[in-house]
Amino acid sequence: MSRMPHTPPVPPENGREEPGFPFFRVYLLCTPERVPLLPGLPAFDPNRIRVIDPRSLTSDLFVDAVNAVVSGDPKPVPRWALYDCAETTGVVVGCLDHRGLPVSLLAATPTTVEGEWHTFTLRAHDPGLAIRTARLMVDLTRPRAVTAVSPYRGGSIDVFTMLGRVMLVTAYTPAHSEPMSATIRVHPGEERPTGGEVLTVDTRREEALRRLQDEIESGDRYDIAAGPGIDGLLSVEKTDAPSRGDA
Amino acid sequence: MPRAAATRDMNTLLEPFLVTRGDPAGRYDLEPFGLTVSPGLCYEATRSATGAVIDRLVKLDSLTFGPEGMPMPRWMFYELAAFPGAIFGFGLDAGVLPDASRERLGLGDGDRGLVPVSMYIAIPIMPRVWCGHNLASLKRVLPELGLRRLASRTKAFALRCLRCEQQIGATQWDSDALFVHAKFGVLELLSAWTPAHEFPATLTYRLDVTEAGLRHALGEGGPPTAPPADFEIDADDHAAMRTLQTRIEAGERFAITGKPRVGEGTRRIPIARID
Repeated sequence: MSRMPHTPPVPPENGREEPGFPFFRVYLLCTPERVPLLPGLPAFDPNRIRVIDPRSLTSDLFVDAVNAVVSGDPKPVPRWALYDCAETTGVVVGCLDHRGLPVSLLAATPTTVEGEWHTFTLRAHDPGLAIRTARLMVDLTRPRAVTAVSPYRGGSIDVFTMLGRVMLVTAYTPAHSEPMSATIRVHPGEERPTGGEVLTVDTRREEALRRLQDEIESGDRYDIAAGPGIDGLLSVEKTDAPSRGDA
Repeated sequence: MPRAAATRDMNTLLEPFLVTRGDPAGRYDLEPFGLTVSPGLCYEATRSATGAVIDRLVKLDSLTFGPEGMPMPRWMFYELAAFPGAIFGFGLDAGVLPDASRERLGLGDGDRGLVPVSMYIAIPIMPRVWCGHNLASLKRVLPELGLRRLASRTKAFALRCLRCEQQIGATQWDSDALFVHAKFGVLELLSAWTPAHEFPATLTYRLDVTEAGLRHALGEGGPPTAPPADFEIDADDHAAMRTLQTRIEAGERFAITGKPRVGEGTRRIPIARID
């Protein structure tokens, strides 16, 4: 989570509850070509969502403010990467404070799997806002599945477990700059099937993650039953149940 | 032990590779222009072993883009390349590389396997529409290899492999990459001045991928049909870029019609107004 001053939520002006967002105004940064391809957008009150075209000259100050949300990161996502790999290809979404400034951010881009979006750079000043921001992305894109990569330590796995069933794609990820990260696939609104063998994995131990990764590469499939807490213990459940999103 | 490779034509030894998620068969053309991407060089993004491949791609990127100040962070090779999209490129077996090349690539005596010398990274926007966000080539870094048309060839094979019908890209007006992109056909300008990018003097373009364009990029046949240029933009003229952007936002459409024209200390890009 990024380091930002706390901004109190603003109560709704008209009492109307929007998809995933009762209190905050929100923003959507994407190209005009993307707008008609967002199935959830018509459900939003146009007075409460600010749609910005990143290619417009008038967007520069707002884009500055969006990039400021990640500027405090130790290794912030480069501005060109957000432009090339989200604003041009997919969306950047987030919440606005009472001044109309971005206070959270989630970038998302479609993948080669139909109906699947890959999300990256989730930033918010508290977990509640992070969950709202992730839900906002789901409400707008209505994906069959959402993917993300999250380091076990201080990551966002718990945020995604609030959205639905979370399957483990990788338990150990040497292709990433932080190998001790999970790649997850979230099936929004879907309940996790139960009844399989439950394992507890110490995510602070590289060897344990490697073993789990070997099993995944051998064909085993796991759902995340509970994200790693402060003790670093991840609870996963072996599953044979396909996801509705894979149907 | 010195490796005797200088007399061999490295262009004939280039091998295509692909890094992506899932089974590429069926989704991609694994015999682009008749050249087979062997199963052993199709790397699954989510497997642990692919980490070593990514290491070599990071090196390729830093040798290509490090001097320009826009290298790609390592996490992006997974999260914003191989996982959601694909990385296609050409490589050479480490064993055929001369010592000078091995040294520049940081290869030790024990290093084996495919060494990537070019790559094209693309992520999907929608079916058959891809955003190409990285085109890297070591042609200039390793001149001793005598690699020809490497960047153009890599992009052409990649677009064919990915079955790409329309490609979106962003590049700087003064970038050498524009010489490559312009070979593929008319580049419609979606933006001419782009403050959302790290470098505002960036243009965003849309290319309709055609057989003629791909063949031309490979050195076969003449350039694809293009309208005559109405004017030129100097690669350093930021005011002209802003003006062009204002006209685009007002609804006018423009396209780059050919490669930049290089003069004494100048580089001018031909532009046509299109319907």
